[in-house]
Amino acid sequence: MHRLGLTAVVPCYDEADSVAQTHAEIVAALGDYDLELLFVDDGSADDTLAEIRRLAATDPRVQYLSFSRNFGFEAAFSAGYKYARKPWLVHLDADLQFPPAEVHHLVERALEGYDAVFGVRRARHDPWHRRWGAAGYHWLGRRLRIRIPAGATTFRVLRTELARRVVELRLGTPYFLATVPLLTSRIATVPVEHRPRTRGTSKFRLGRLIGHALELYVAFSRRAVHWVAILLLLAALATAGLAVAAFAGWLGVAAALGGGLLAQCFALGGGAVLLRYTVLVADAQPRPAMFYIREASIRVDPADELFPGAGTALLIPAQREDAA
Amino acid sequence: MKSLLILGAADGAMATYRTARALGYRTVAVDLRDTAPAVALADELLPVSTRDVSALTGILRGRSDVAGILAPSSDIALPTQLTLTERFGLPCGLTEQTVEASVDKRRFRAVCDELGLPGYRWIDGPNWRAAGLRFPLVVKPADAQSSRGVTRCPDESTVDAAIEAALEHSYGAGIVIEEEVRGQHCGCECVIDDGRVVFMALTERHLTPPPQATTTAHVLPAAVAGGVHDELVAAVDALCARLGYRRGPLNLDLVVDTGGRPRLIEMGARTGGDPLGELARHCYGIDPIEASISVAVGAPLPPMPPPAVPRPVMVQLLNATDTGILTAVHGVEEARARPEVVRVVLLTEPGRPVTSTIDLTSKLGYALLAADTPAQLRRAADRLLSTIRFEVRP
Repeated sequence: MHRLGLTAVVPCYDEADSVAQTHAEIVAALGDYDLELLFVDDGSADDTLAEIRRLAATDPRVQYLSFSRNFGFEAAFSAGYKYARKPWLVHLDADLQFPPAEVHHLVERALEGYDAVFGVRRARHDPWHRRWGAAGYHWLGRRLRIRIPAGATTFRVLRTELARRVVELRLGTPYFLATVPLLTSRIATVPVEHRPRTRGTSKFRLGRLIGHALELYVAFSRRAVHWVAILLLLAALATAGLAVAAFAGWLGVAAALGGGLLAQCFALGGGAVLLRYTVLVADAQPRPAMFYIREASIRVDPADELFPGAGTALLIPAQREDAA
Repeated sequence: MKSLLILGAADGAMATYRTARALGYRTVAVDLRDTAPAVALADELLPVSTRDVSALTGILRGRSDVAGILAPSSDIALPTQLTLTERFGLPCGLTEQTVEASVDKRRFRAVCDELGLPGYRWIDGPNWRAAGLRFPLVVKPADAQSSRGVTRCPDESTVDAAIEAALEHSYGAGIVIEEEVRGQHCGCECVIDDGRVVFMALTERHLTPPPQATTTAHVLPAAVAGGVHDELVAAVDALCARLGYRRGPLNLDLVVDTGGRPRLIEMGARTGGDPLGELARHCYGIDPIEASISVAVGAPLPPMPPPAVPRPVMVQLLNATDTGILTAVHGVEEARARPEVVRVVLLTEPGRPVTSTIDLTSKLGYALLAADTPAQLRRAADRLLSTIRFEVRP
């Protein structure tokens, strides 16, 4: 294997029980690379940060960033991508449902001339609603002509500079998978193993996944708004026709009312989608950064620090919003 | 992101493109052929001749991303590398004398003779009779590489045709005629730092029978007598001192004669073709290609740990046994599943013309093998050659 410089970015949220094993598995599988492990603690409420500090104290390859509160998955991996220091990075979730040994296949493909290589599960070991939801989400995405590599997952190897370029775009939406194809055509997918989660619990709730999908559809496609505009126009025409028919006495009041309510249903549905688009406008307004770092083992941009220049915060006793 | 300008995209350069990517560089290929094998691995192609210095100068004036220039497995591009790096102030270990000795066999022979290195009788030009050379002779173009236009002549009847073939392949219409040195043919990959050898991998070359004498396999480490390595290191150190070559890769062809003395045949101040770099990495854990990239960008060389116990490795080139159109390749997955097989690389696909005449352009792929002993390695190579079969329609 080449001495490929690789940063393993590992976002963590309440993964105190997993971090040590995650570290051991990554080092065992990827230790031959010029490796950096960058853990990003997304404001965990358990002892995740303490566990990461312990690893960093014993393994010089381990670095970490710790957020000032829970900012969410996209913020966590975005921070990891921004501060990765090796020329290539691999995104690994702390649960390691994608075995780190599979990274070699992604790396080999990347060296064939690709900027980004995404793992595609050979067989998915997740609950049925996650599998069906993912299939529907990809199907609708394709209908909306959003370019997402088919079956692509968060298990990916990228040129770090490419990942950083995506993060620096500071898009209203942090939807990474759909942004990469807007920057480069050198994208590949590789079939990889996927195993059931054996520790911790998934942090992805159904409502959050639906919200995530909606965000993708409105931010990366104008087709949805075209469809809604046509729907609203048809609803308006139908309502006008019903009114004329009712006044002319061609329709009974009940039938006209029923038809009108039906048209209103479509109009309200369309209105809801349009309302979602206003979030994009709101995103452009001044607002806090995607994340703030409270503590880090590496030098970070002062703009990303909660208290610039305060240095590390190893002795702050209460890092949790609910701490007494 | 910094880019590396890589002169040439032949199959022998593919490992350089991969390694450059692994180290985080963008790769800019310079090759007139957009179908050259390594083009697919590059981030960008400049469809320009590797010898077109003025075109490349014009292109480089307009960009600031190029951190280094290198010419893997290509002597022909070395003058371009030297001129461009000097012109744009980029790192380079080459000197004019080093480039001359790399591209012109006459110059190399003259330097070896000046240094008193073990040599053989040779002449510049076709007048072999006047020089009283003894058969068998080897006729070569003075300035081509990779055995192009090289013919072994067992007797007088073959010399005229050999001279014609050599002239056809010579860029500057020059030839050399040498007395053949009998012994073990070897290849040698070196890394030079501060004017001295810091790494050397001596491979044993297996050749087709004369007259072509084309390489069919490299075995590393070469089975040569104990003192050969030290004598060779001393010879290369002297050569580098004479040429002023301070830092970079060095590839040598040599024969260890029947008396156990290394006789240098030719040199190139660049890495050898694939997969010699990979072979060295698997055998010694040191990658000359990575070192060559470090030199090209002015970075420190990667660690060169003291030699560990080498692991026997070899590359076996794959060739068709019939001439025609390739219709299928059998046994590749079966071969890949064998424990001694590190990698099988195919350079062709069904539908392409193939030939049973083994020469430089005829190889259809290669396999990299590693084993605990040289005997296991030989058996693994035999098994490989009987497993992978190329089906050819005449």
